[in-house]
Amino acid sequence: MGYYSGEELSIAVVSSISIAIFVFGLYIQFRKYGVGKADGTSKVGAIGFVRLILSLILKNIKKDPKRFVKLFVFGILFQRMIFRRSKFRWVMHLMIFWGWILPFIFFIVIVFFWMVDWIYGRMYGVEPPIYLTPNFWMEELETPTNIAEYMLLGGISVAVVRRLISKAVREMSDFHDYFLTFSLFFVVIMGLIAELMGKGVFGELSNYAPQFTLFYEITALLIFVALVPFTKYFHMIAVPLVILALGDDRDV
Amino acid sequence: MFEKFRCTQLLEFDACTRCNECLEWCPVYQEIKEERFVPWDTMSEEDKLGFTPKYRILKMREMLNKKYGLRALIFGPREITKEELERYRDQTYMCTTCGTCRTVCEGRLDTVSLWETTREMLVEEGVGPYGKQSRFLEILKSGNMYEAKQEERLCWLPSDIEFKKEAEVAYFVGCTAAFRAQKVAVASVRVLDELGVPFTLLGEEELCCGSVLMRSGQPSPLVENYIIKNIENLRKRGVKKVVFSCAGCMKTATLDWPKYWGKELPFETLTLPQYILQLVDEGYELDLKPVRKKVTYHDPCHTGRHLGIYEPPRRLIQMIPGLEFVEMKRTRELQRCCGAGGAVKAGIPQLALAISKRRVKDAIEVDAEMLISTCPFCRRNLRDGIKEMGIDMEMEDLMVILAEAMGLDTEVPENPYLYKS
Ligand code: HEM
Ligand code: SF4
Ligand code: SF4
Repeated sequence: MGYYSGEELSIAVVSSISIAIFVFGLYIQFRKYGVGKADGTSKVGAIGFVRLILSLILKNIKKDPKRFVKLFVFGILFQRMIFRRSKFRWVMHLMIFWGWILPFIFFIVIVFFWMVDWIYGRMYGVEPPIYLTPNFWMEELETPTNIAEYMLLGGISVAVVRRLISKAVREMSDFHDYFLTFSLFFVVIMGLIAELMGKGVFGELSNYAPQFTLFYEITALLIFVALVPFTKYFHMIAVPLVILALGDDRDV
Repeated sequence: MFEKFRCTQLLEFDACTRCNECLEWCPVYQEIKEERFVPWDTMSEEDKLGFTPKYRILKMREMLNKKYGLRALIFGPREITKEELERYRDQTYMCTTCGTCRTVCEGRLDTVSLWETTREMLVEEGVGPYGKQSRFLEILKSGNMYEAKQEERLCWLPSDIEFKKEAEVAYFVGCTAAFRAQKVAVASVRVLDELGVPFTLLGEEELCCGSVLMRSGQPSPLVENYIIKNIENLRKRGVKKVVFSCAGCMKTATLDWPKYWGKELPFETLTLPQYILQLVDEGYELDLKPVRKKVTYHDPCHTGRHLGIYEPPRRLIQMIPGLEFVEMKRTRELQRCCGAGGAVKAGIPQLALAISKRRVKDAIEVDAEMLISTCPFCRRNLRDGIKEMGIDMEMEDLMVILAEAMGLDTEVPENPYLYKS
């Protein structure tokens, strides 16, 4: 216990809870899909569904690897299906997508080097070379992370404004749409405030920077991890799975 | 009830990103929104939205969650009422399965296949199909869609046309060209004959391709039986290429027959324009006389969006001298459906008519004198639209125009169905 600060402990606990809720949510969803047919048999269950998805993806890779790469790059990474329908919404969504996904990837990179650091220390009893340490990568990735975060802020601000000012968009929106857009906006703004507090921008209030940052991190974990299977955030899992599993003939 | 769906289809219901794009393009919703077709006695704006692809997806998602969602897991599944299913039946069957929503879908849902499986589910639940569609199975026992005599399948065939018992090429006429749009059948055999292609016809052995039952959610052992018999009869005649003048038969044979056959078909399937262009590309020279008309082309959904055949009919049209060809605003993958497909013409004729008038207006917008298509079903429905509008526009199948440009006689010989053509 003594090794961890209260902040780290809170994050560890909330992360674990969030991941547990995420996995549980995913299980409920997959169990639901498992009611359907796979290879002619109905009610294959969550495992049957996962097996089916993996087999379909593998089949599509084998059938036409080039087409598969195209689907992955243009369908998932660049969402050309949105581009085809609206350039404006495409730019907006791409900013949100990359602005969200890049910091996520960077986070994974840092966790990876944190593990390398730890294993290296255990194996050789000395510090690893600097480029294998998490601190090195945290510093290297700080600027790209900032750029991505501003991109996300830009994209999600457009989405919020669009939902507020366009009557047509408003009329077609319900709680699910508002929750996704506004919760994302809310978390991004919290992140920005936490960062500015850390830099002392808010005078006296900046003294609360550590507490606020903790609050921000917990909120982000709950919304970006725990609630994914239960909200419109789930589209970031469902759409790629559909694209890769169907692997159909439509242009991407 | 949800066991009818493939697991991936159930996933698709959760992949709708609610982008609203399909609302802009669905031909059925457009008519309902603008109240040119009113499905229920009283319709709120919300009721109207219930007929859009998006809301049909979301409703299915809701029903699925009622049985298997988080709440269902904790508090037990909730009931899906008969009334709920009946409303959903109306929303599901008022859809031409044109596939425009599939083309524009930003979540890349395979909507057409979802609609067809949903219909199967509703039939199984005892609430589908819709209206007259429930007689399809009974009607098809006759071997065709019009309860006509099978032995009269070739009653339209001009006496001077000879077909072979066995040949590499077969012309699959289809029920509509055999008993209703007979001019299309006559023109098709005239063209094949003129091109010097030895071809075969199944005659009374030709059974309905199964399209109407499949589109209306009623695939049955009868359909399977017909499909297998058709394939076997074609194989027996040594056929290597089957050519179609009906977009519906072409789609069904190309996409659905292999599923019943269990493997690749023993022959290639081609639309007539595709086949004729193959001959042209091999060096055959078409001797075409000028036809002076301003024409536009309507892509049938079944060969267009569903099979991706866009260029061959256009190439053929442009080969006919004198024809001035103009494109309508909505063509190719974003074409506007004629309104007849998905068993709508038989089940909800007023809806089919409303949509067809809209498509005719697209042709008027570009000052076309004639609408051309490559499907006897589109031909029939667009003709109904033109008639209802009381305007001076022609609608004809490309095979008829081509035959006439080749100087061939497309007159249909006297037969019991002539007055229905
Ligand atoms: C993984 C691949 C993803 C695909 C294929 C995808 C696809 C889509 C599509 C098609 C839409 C509808 C577009 C619209 O309403 O204008 C959408 C909306 C949205 N997506 Fe994604 N998405 C993905 C990942 C993400 C990620 C990672 C995020 C970040 C959290 C995200 C956030 C959003 C938001 C906020 C909206 C609503 C925009 C609005 O309010 O208008 N998406 N997504
Ligand atoms: S298939 Fe066509 S008619 Fe049916 S919902 Fe989609 S766009 Fe509308
Ligand atoms: S186009 Fe597809 S993703 Fe968009 S609302 Fe319609 S069904 Fe949903």
